[in-house]
Amino acid sequence: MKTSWTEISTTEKYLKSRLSSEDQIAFERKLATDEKLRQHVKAHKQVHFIVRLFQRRRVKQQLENIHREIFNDPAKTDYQTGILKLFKS
Amino acid sequence: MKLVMDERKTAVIEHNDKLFRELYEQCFPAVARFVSKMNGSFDDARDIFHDALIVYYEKTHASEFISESVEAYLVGISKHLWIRKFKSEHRLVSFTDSERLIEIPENFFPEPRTKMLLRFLERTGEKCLELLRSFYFEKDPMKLLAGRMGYRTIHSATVQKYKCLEKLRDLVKEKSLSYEDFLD
Repeated sequence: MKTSWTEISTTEKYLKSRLSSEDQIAFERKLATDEKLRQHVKAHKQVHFIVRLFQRRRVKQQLENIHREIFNDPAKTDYQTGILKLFKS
Repeated sequence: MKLVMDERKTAVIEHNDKLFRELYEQCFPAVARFVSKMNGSFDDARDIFHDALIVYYEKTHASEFISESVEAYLVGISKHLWIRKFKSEHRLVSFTDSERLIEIPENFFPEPRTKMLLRFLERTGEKCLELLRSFYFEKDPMKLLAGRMGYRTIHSATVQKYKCLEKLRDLVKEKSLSYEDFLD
């Protein structure tokens, strides 16, 4: 059976600290006794982390393109030389 | 829907692009000087600078207060990243008082198995990753975000978000690895 969206919604709010204090206490009580819910919450946290890594990877791709453009731009020779000479042994 | 999402994505990328280019011109030389001093290579300098920009981007996105110049802050982040990445000793890097206080996310350099999981989810659930990324990192009001993603109502955008969370959770569980290192 599919997980209820109420559970997903509550877990999302719990992990984002957006539950009321009463609902948070109730959720934590349930967590203490419900192994399946614990597994859902753990996987939910992992998804949050993976989405963060995905975002970082996107930004990194963007930065690599910028780097390539800057270090191949004939108008930026002084800038390029100034940095590259730091690494000449 | 795809067209609207692509337009939105383009707008965000263009905004970040301008900011990143300015920071590159302004701050990369100082970070490169630090990396050179530590006997690192040009490629090390590029990688550390990119990671520092990502940390800076996340901190500004989370509205963290930054009291010093961006250049000094990026050099400070780079020093911490250098130690973390190359397991260098703290005593080999000199910190100012304010640099010492900078915090880097605990799991910034993830383990190989975590990267493997990301690759797996990119293959099997990229659309959902993209949708959740927009929800979590593009901090527009929900109504605006839903509209830009091509949903007529906040409710339908939210339903799609929950479907995606469920799908990715199931995929994570399916891999059934041990992910203790994930937990923030």
